[in-house]
Amino acid sequence: MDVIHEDKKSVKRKRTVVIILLMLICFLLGVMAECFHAAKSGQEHGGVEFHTGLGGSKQDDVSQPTKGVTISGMTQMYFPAGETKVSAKLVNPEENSGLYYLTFELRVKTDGAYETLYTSDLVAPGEQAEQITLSHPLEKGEYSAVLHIQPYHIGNELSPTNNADIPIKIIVG
Amino acid sequence: MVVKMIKKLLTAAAVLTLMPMTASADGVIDQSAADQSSSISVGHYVDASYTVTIPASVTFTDSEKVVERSLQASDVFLNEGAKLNVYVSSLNGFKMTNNEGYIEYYMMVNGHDIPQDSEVAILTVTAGDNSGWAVLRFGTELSDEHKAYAGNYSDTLTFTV
Repeated sequence: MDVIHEDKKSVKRKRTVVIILLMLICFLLGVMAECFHAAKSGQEHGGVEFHTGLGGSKQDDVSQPTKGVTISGMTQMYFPAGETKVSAKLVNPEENSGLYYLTFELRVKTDGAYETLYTSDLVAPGEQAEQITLSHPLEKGEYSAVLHIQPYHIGNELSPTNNADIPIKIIVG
Repeated sequence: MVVKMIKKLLTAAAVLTLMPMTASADGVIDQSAADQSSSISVGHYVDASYTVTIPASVTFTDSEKVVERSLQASDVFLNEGAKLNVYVSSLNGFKMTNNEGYIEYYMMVNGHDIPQDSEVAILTVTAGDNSGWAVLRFGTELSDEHKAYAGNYSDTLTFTV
C-alpha cells in the first residue's frame, strides 16, 4: 500500500513539474509575440513627433535618432514562373548598423489592385533576405509592384520610423 | 603494292570519318577545313540601382519647433535618359496626431514650401549623375485654433522613389 501511495505521489509531482514548465514556455512565447507586435503596431510612434509639455532639452527626447535610414534601391526583380520559393536581394545596408532594422513587404499589382506577395521578418543591418517564399506563384509576364520598406529604430523598443516605397517591375519567366 | 596503297587510303578515310565534321554555321567552326572565323554575341544587362538615405525621424519639442534633415541619393546608376525622382507623402496630411487632437506642421525643400497634396519631386537625380541631395526643413506652431494637450503627437512620412 505504501508503494502504491508513493507511486501516486511521484506521478503527481511529475505532472506538476510538466504543467509549470508548459506555463513558463507559454509565458515566454507570449512575451516574444508581444514585443514583435509592439514593434509592428506603429500606433504610439511615428517618424514625425511632437513631445509637448517637456522642458525642451534634447535630453528629454529619447525617441528617435537624427541619422537617416539608408535604403538600397532597385528597379527590377526576376522570378521563375510557377515557383513560390524565389531568390531576392532585400538588403539592410551596413550604414544602418546599430540604428535600424528593416522589414520588407512586396506588393504586386494584379487586376488593378495591390496584394501582398511577401512580408519579411526584421532584417538586421548588414544582412539580407535572400531566399523568400511568395504567398502564391506568378505566371510568366511582367508585373508592377511596390517594395514597402519599414525601418525600426533599434534603441527604442523597435519603434517604427518614416518609411519608403520603391516601385519595381517583377519579370517572371 | 597497289593493295597496300588502297589499304592506306581506306585507313585514312576511316580515320577522317571519326573526326567531328560539321558544316560551318554561325558560331561553329569546321575543324577539317582551312582557316575560318566565326563570331558570337557577348552581352550583359546591368540593372539600374541606387542608394537613398531618408530622414528616419523628425522630433519637435516646445523649444525646438524648426528641424532640418537631409535627403540623399548616392551610387545612382540609371538607364540612359532616366531620372530618379523622390516624392514624399504624409499619413495624416502633415498633422501630428494622438487621441486628444493634432498639431499641424509644414515641410520646405531647399527653402521652398511643399503643398500638402504636391506631386512635385523633392529630389531628382538624372542618369549620368552619381548622387544628389536636398535639405528638408520642418516647422510647427501650437496655434490657439488647434490647442493641443500635453503629450506625444506623431505622423509618418513615406518617401516614394
